[in-house]
Amino acid sequence: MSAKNKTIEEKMNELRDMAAWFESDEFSLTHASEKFEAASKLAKEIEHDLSEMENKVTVLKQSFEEA
Amino acid sequence: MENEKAEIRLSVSDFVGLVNQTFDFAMPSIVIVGEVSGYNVRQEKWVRFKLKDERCSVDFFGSTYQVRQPLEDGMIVAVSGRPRLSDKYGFSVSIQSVRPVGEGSIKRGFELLKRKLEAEGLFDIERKRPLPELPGRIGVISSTQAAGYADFIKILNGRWGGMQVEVAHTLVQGVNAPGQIVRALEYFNQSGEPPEVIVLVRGGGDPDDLAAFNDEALVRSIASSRIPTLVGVGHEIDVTLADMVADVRAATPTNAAQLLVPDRRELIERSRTYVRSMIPAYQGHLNDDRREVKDLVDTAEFVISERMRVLTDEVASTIKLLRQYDPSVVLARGYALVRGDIDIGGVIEVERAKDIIQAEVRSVSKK
Repeated sequence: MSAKNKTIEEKMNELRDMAAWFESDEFSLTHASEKFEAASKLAKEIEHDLSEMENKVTVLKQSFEEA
Repeated sequence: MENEKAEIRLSVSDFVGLVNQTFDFAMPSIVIVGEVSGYNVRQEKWVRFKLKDERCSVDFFGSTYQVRQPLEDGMIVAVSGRPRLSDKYGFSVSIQSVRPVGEGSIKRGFELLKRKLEAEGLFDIERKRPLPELPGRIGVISSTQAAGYADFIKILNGRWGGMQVEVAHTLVQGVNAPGQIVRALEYFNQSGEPPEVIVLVRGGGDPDDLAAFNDEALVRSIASSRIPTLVGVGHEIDVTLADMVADVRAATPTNAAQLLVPDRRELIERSRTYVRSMIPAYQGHLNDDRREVKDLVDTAEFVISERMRVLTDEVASTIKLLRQYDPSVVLARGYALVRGDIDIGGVIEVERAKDIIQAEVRSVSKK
């Protein structure tokens, strides 16, 4: 799944995992800078997605009056 | 002769038919308000009672389907019905719907129905289903002209987006409201693309306005919805049976939107917090690594200096030992060094610390 197709939920989970990596035993200085940059980018993407998304509200044409 | 012309002679059956036609024409539907007396349900199907006031009383007849509201004598109700003259039972009003009138009767009717539905387990906590975490499709039932609906949509749009929201516009008060809401619930439940949650909202009102949400058929319809339901009716202090039977009860329409979706602003803040939390963690790891390197250097320095000290001591000991073997040291302690052939008459050299003596060997004997 490309980053563009990921849902907000998936992106939030990915970001949370990235933050957890910094606290984990898997942390390595070699990859930390690269990981931090990716996390910053993902956070900006989430913010953009959340700010832009709009609901589609449709009022049904059906009448619910008694036939 | 003239009297004979004016006289209308009818059979009993024709008379009954004519009276009913006259009722249909004059009063196709009428609402009568009065106090219930002689309330009676037969075979759990047929309902009879009288409505009375200070001077008169009138019989009413109907089925339990039409009388959705449990009644008891003394309650004041508004009955919608059609006057009927039955060929067997005489005059009565055929009931179309009944609703309690006035705060006391509405409250009593509410308690009676609540007790009945409670006994059937409709409000049991085990029946409650969770709402979807992030619904993609929402079915809303409300009046699009109602303030409660506007509040709900405003808060919903502010908090979250990307959802398909289908709105079934229905009445939310009055005798026809429950039927319309029930049909909207059925519509969503039978839809080819059903919503993940149905939200029923209405703003505040007096008890009479909210009475529609205590309708038995509506309550049962909410209970039997295969789609989870969220009901937010009235103000915080208002509790309706629709609220009680819903999977999730919201205190108000605004609260319904808050319960349904997260606030995007909170998520944005949470994503920023995740990134911010990385900085001290990163810094912490850097400090740990620096500390580790310093510890290693300190250890190396200690090990090297220890080794140097041991080696220095060893060299000093060796030098000291070697000094013990130096002949001049031995001579200084009073010993002498003898060189030469040990033969009688031979000359030997005796070296002492401060001089060298030449001596002749006079005798040699074994020890």
